[in-house]
Amino acid sequence: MNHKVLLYSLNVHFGATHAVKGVTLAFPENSVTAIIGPSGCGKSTVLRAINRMHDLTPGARVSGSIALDGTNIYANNVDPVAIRRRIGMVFQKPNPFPAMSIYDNVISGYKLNGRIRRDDADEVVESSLKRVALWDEVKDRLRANAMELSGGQQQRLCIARTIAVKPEVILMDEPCSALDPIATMKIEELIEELKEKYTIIIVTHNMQQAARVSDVTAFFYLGELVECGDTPMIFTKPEKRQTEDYITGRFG
Amino acid sequence: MLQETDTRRWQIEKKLSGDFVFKGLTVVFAFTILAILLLMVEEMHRESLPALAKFGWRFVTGREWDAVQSSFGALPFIWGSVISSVLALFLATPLSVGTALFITEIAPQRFGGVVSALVELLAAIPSVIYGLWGVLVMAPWLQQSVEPFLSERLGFIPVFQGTPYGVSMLAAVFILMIMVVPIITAITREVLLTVPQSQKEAAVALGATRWEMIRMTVLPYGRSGILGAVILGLGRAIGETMAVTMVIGNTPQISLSLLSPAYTMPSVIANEFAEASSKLHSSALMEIGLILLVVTLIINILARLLLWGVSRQRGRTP
Repeated sequence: MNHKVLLYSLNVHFGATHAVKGVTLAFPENSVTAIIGPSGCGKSTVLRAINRMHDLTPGARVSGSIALDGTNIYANNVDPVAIRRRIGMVFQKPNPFPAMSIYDNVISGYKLNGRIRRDDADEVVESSLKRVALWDEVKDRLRANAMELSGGQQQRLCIARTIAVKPEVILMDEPCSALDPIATMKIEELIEELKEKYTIIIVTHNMQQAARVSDVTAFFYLGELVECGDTPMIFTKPEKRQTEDYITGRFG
Repeated sequence: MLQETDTRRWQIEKKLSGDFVFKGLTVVFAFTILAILLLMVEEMHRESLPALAKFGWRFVTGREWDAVQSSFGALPFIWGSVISSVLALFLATPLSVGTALFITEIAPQRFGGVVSALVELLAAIPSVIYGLWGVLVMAPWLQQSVEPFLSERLGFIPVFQGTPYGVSMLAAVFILMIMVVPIITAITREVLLTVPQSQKEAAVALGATRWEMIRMTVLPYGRSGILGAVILGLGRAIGETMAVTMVIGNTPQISLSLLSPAYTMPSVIANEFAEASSKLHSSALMEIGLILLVVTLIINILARLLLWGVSRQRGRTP
């Protein structure tokens, strides 16, 4: 399988803190890779390095390289804005834009690419909302404020907003941790469908979720990659002792 | 056993505690402020009764202000106050919002802090110093370079017609602009700091540039708060007395031209209260004060409502 994203001796520092230590890891195309590990193990930090979100954090320093289709996204001549249009992100808490309608939320990122025709916009909104299985629930109130939706609907709206931009990779940072079990199930089904078109990297606290949705699992501990492999292997016959301790619930 | 403890606890509450005294004191203080405001309005109303009785609504629409003839109309002062403040706000708003955005979004944290402190320092300068600088430095500069240029090149527009005096509506507008920028900037900065990081990240993750991020999340989120800041600035501008008095030229006339001198409500009160010999004259000044107070109150209430709207909107977001 093709490697869509490749981390090569990635280090992230926040001031004096060494949060991610020399991680080398490949993410296969059109599949779901789960990043698991106890709190503070650097899993979110790795994820946020992939679309250069650390650029926003004063004092954050990233070294090593991350290749997207073989191009280092940290090279000097690479525009982070262009990278983020190819690598979308869904956050832990649903964060639709509160001043916008459902419709405007979906189209908000797409609009950044320049002027769009009304028909195109309608089509993008409809297809994006259909992909996240939200269309039937909101098609009669597209002009309503996005904050009127439930938490689970808001999160699917945020995913619709992300895929409307037509990214190649979608990063998900604990996308279900603020949701109830039914909303979580819907998002997990959605992830399963989305992987046909996108490469998905998901950080999760929930090991059952990792086992259910992912093809590959990477286990992080204290800023280092401990082990990475096919999900069934990691959850049945992990090679490292630490991995086994974690997935059997002995710590973390 | 259990009952006994319950009774004892109940008794403690019945005693005259420090809490009760504290509560009483705060109530008294709070109502004192309210009483002062009401008494002031009542007193001003009573004092302005002669003018109210003599001129009625003509006081607000009259253009003539002549102490010798005892003919008083406040329109030139209302005009001067409103126009100078509104124009000053018109110039100060983009300047302040831009500065606040620079401090919160663009500048490195430490540098932003320095800029922010310097801007707030501007608010601490006494207005008489602004006035002195205005009349000694800015007005001559306006008279020699800016105003001649405006009247020569743009004189076909009525706003820029006339002789350059230096002391003028334009000078008042500039002085007020400089004086309200710190307030609007400080409040706008506070408002912008409340924009959640998650909102900004959402925009950036969609591939927004910094400006697009500001336009998509920061400005809509802070919109009504910024409006509140502008209105508080307006309140400040409309009540400003000393600096405006020193540069506006103090001529009770209504002229479209920014180059001609004008007069404001606070300025006429400050200039004439000492020499108001007749009962009617001082009562006319009182009525101007009343109008000013009412206008300022309305502006402040509007600002409160808008800021209140912001905090409610903030509560609604996840």
